[in-house]
Amino acid sequence: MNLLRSQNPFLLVLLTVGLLGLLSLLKPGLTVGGVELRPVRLLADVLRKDRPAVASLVLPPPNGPASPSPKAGGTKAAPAAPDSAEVPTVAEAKPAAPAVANLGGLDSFLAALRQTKADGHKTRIAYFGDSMIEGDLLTGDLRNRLQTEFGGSGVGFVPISSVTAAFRETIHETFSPNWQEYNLVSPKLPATYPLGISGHVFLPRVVPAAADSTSAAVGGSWVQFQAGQRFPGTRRFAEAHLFYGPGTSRDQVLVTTDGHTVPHALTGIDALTELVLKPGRPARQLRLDFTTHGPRPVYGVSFESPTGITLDNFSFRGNSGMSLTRIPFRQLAAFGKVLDYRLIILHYGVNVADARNKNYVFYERAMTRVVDRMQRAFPQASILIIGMSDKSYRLDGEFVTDPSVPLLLAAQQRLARRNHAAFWNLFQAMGGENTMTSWVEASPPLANKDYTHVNSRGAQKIANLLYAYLMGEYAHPGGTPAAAPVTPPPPAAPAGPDSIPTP
Amino acid sequence: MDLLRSLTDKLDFDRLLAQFVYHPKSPLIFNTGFFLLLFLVFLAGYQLLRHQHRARLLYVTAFSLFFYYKSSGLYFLLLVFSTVVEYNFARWIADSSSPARRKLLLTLSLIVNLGMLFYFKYTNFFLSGYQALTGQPVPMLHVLLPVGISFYTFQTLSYTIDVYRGQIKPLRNIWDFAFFVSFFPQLVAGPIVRASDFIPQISKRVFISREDMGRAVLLIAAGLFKKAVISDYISLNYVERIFDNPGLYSGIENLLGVYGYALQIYCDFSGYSDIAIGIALLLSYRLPPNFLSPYQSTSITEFWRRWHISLSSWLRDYLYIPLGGNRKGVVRQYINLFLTMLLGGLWHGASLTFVAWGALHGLALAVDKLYQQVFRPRATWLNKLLGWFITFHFVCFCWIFFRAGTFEVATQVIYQITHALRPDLLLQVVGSFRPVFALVALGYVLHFVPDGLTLHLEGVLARRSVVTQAVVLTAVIWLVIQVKSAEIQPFIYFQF
Repeated sequence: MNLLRSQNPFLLVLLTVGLLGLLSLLKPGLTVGGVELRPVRLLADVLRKDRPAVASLVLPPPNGPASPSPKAGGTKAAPAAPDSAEVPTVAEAKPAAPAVANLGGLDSFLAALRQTKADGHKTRIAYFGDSMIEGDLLTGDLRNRLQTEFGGSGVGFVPISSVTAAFRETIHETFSPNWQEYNLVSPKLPATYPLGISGHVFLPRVVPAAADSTSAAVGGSWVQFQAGQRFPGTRRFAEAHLFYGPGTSRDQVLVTTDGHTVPHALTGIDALTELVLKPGRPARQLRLDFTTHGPRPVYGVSFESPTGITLDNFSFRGNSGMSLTRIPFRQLAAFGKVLDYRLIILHYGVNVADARNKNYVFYERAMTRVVDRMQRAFPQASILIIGMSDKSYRLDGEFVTDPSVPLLLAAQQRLARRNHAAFWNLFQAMGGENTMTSWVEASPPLANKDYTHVNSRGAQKIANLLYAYLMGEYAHPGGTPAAAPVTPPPPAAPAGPDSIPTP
Repeated sequence: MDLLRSLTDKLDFDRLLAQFVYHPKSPLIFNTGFFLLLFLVFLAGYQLLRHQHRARLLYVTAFSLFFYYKSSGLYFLLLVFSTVVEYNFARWIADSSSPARRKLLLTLSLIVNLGMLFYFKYTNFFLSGYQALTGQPVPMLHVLLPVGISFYTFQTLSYTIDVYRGQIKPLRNIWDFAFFVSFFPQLVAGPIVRASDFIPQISKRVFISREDMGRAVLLIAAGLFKKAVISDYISLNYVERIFDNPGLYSGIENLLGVYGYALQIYCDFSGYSDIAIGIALLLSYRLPPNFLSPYQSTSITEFWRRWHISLSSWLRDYLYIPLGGNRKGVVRQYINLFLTMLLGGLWHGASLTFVAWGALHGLALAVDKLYQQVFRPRATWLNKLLGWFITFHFVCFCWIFFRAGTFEVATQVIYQITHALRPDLLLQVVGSFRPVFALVALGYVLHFVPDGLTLHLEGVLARRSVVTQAVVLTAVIWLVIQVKSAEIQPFIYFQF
């Protein structure tokens, strides 16, 4: 071969394309060492598209029409149909009407809301979730809209420490490093210090008995809260409620509000005691210094007002919801005696749905236990199951709805129906199939690049959608899909449910 | 025949046609299947025309304009405009003997070039700055940034300035000049090619030696691996998430995110440059090297001789030296260094975070210069190691501002690293994102491969047949496909 001949790059590329063509003839689904080989599709951009993965799967119906619970006007719940019949086909799954009707089960909450509107009587809401609501994302906006409409102030229950304290904008929390914490993912849980409603229990450092307990400088544990400026309703603390369990009789807490310190004895030997702290006038800062002479479980502080709406954010990252059963029922019931919840929201799913898993009966079963315990511990509360949001996975290099999403949604909907809980199909409400992809690609983006978690803008949009759903129910309980909220959006939160207000 | 029929049955002509039309969301980039097929067709024509000089230049220019149209739509007219204007300015400058007239023509050329860059890239930046200062609302400009405008304006500027300085003679054929301005391999992301390097190559006949071919294959393969395997994977599966919400992660996760980003931006940028250089080489054109293992640097001055070389040398020759360089005293030299880097920072993007990034580097360059002059440190291995450690971490620190987009995010990242480091989570984090950190480790190891080994590999590839070379390319492309369609790493939050 003549070394001085020019090489032929065309041949190089032709051979490369040819070799890739040969590779594309390989059977799909080959695995090497357990890893599935992805097919080579050189012409994928110009060939006819196969049906998208999700469209070929069955989708659960949107919210509604209502199947009233036994409580609702005395009508009986329809007998549960077999599983296969409960899951309609795609064609049925996409009606023109907006997907916001009640499946039944919000009655208690709606009655409470009406009373709040009439005389200000407090309505308390617990919002349980995973990383989707961390740092008061979603719940912060929802609380703001509810408090603007129905009154009330405060961010609700805040555990003593949080992994997302630095991220949360509605309240700024700092704490000493010497708290001992047990939570839903602790390998072993001590029976003597049961987990509280948030899924945590905190033990302040035990200080020597001889220490001067009137001074903060004895090395005890402390926690400090500073009101966040994000929403008007949470810029000051009207009331703070400290929740703790039994301990030695000489324990006390020094309460400092805006520089003014008052000692309080930690009395009470019940499984749960609520200490109400009322600063002379609404404060911006609260510091609690604990002097405990023996182990004493402390759960958290709730910032609230005597009237209007209180909404507690119980986020726990990585949680599927199923581990809530690690909270001992007796302790949950103890919280139920003190906190009069009228609505409990369970928002889970992104940590459960997995493209490789086609069956979610295990999830439905485990969550049935969770719902059942909530219903018994909080008999006055309506339960609202939120169907998971859209989540993408990658198919041939493109992000599309994970095929497990509709399967899990169906399980969540059955869970709600069988327990007479309400169900809100967030997947459908946010736009259905492949919405996550468009949210990630939106400018500015509404979701993160993991194609699973929404960001603060996306969370606000979901909060507005959820608020619109609740207000629709408030206006026409159990009726056909509600139109607009009965009351016009308050001036403080000008955003319509579908728009993203500019910050 | 059956195969052909089944192919035409499956072919979606609407989608095929759509591939040839500008779509803002799908620019024509090298690491796509469509580019490979297009390049194959292009090369067939190139091979046929290799002995017809004029026709070949026109052919490549037409393809380049199409390439740019695919990425920027009608903005390809800007490229045409720029070509016509600069071609004539340079000619008029060369033909004029009056220094004043030459200066005036150069100034006009600068106004046109920089004006275009300024209008598209910086109008909103300055409008919002004005708005922030005065509190008066200003209507913003709603224009898309033409892809690669920062690169090709600098390229044409170098031509006009070199002609003004008498360093090169102007081209007397506008098609030659159009070929230089639009040459597609480096058009949208560099390297910034100097007219003086490129113009002499235009008239040469096409000749690709065995060494060229081996080098091109290695550059393209390594570039694809860096860009489409390492960078794309770690960015999507780890780095982006950290910078999206730094407050949600412990300090150690943020720190790993910063190290990850340092590798990501290097692999992304240098990988794409390498592919561009490789593709140009397959067409028998040599582009200057753009990156020389920058993280091996033992001082910040050395870093800037190894990082984005085509930009830093451009800034040196066309900004630092005209500002006075080191000829106007030590103080002026430091000021010039700082100013050059400040503007260099702004070149990367219209945001104060880029300005801060440039300012930090400018400051560091000045400090390094001072240190070298005052202490004259000896090149012991300990000094080198220390210098390397400091340089690498300083560069990483600056990347935080480069990537964060806002000072708020940058501050959060730094706060988490300094206040919530939690080193005890290290093994848990690395263990949960094994593929990500395996790639990060591999990337850094490859970064420290000595140049000798690279040259050796080039030689090995050069001596092999074209079939072997194609197998190497195919293997890398296959790997890219695997990574591109791999499942995304599930999101893992740690309890910290």
